[in-house]
Amino acid sequence: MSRRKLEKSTMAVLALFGSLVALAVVAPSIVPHDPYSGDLANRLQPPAWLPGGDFLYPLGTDAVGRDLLSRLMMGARVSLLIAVFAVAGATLLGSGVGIAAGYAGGWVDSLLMRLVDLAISLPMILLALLVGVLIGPSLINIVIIIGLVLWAQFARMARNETIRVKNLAYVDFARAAGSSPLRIVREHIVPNIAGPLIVLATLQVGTVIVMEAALSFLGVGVPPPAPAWGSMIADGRSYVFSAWWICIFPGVAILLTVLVANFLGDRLAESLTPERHRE
Amino acid sequence: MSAIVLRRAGELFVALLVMSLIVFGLGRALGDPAALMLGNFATEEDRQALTRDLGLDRPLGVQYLTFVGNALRGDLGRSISGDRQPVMEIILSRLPASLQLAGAALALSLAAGIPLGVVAAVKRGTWVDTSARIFALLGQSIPVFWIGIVLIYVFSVRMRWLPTSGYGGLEHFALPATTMALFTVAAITRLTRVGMIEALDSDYVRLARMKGLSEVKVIWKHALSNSVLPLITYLGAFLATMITGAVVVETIFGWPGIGRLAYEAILDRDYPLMQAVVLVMTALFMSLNLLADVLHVVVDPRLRNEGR
Repeated sequence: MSRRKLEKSTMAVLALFGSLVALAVVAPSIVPHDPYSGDLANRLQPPAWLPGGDFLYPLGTDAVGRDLLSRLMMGARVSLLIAVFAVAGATLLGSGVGIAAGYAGGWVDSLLMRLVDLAISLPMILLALLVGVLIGPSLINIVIIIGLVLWAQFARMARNETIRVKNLAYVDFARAAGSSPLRIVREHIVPNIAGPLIVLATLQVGTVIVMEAALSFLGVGVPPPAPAWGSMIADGRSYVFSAWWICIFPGVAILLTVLVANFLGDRLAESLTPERHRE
Repeated sequence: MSAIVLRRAGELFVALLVMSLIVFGLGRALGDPAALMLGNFATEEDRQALTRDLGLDRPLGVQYLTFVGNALRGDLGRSISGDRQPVMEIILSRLPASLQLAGAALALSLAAGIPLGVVAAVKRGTWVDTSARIFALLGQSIPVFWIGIVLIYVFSVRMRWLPTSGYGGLEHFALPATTMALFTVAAITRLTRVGMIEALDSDYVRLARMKGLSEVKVIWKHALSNSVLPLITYLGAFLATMITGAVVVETIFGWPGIGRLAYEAILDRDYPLMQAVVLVMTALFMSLNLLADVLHVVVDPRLRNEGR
């Protein structure tokens, strides 16, 4: 791909992501209908372009007569909010552990990395489901659960990057000049390992959106009546014979969001860590 | 070599212990399991009977050690529902269906992913390659549970070709196996493509061409056999993700395997069954990953002397 074309597609992906975020932010004030309560008289309305459809409900309505478009728009808010907080939490926790392990070395390193290996080797989705059922669904719980599933990958990467950076000459120099470990970490290590961690975080956004949707689908994610895409699909599942649109549209929304997030991650990876992408 | 396997097996055992502690601790930390299991309408006598029966009146440490001791002898307790079957019996009766489904999905992934990857690599840069790459990207971005429902809608509701759910003949395998395979087809396509591109640029392929071998033979025999080798090391990991993915896929398609069993046990708060099925799935998941690591060392001898 030529450089020019590459930049164009990066801009396009950025614009798409930006409009998605903007949509999520302004959703409450622009939704055409109330996303939480429906009009039973208009239940199971097909999308506007199908026979029987009505432009009042462009994407149709669900089993209790709620406007699908409005719920999808509010759902973007739920999905992105969870993704951002869960990834941020996992990045902070993971980087903290990873930097501590990498910088301290010795037994601290072995102990922490054993923990990380363990966390990575367990079937986390099963644990997430178990914890989700036992502590009950709520927005905060799902952020915590997903954060706990993801942190170990960040820890592993932060640790390896810290080890790579901490023996560079200028870090040695800062140490010789008498900087405290905390200061070295803050001023020399964090800025130098941030790139790969940001790339990993961006690439995890898509994973988190799918994971949250799966947990919501299984009934342990976002509690009703909040319009999470995963639970919308679960609601529509029993109507797949008569009203396909209820579960098809939220899936399309998830797919598009995840694709955009993954594209963005790939592009960021190419520009922030070019040495790894010589392909 | 055997040292690595032994070490990894030791780690697996430790991880299982940790998992059992988590599963055990979670239930106890979140209230009285007997009350949770019986629900709100149970009498006090019922609750006490169940408490005694499950040994919940003994100290926590003793309970845990008893649980682990019994588990090591293959006794994971009895289900609290219905006729109180031993949970190990229930799990063993459900396991074949899960293994069949995962096996079918893996076979399907290989049968579709390898040719796709090869063709994409041979036609590098053309529309064939681009569509294979888009397919691979989609396959790794689509939520599995959603594609399952879409397949049901298209092939069962609209076309009426295949049953929506259930277990039985080949026609029952088609939709759940495809759903489960989608992610791995995408991954295998990617891996094969990258491996083939490397192989096609290598000296031995050039040599094979110079010897005048037919293009078909060069691609499908010489280049492919070398790029498929690394794929073997991923097979265990693919199967492992299918074991955990089974929770969603089996639930959607009403498949009588351990994935759906786990989901139902968790929802029903069938405490002994839940503990057991989570542990069995963890053991399966981790041994398959262990197998992947061992194969990795077998295939790539350079790793044999490395500590990590």
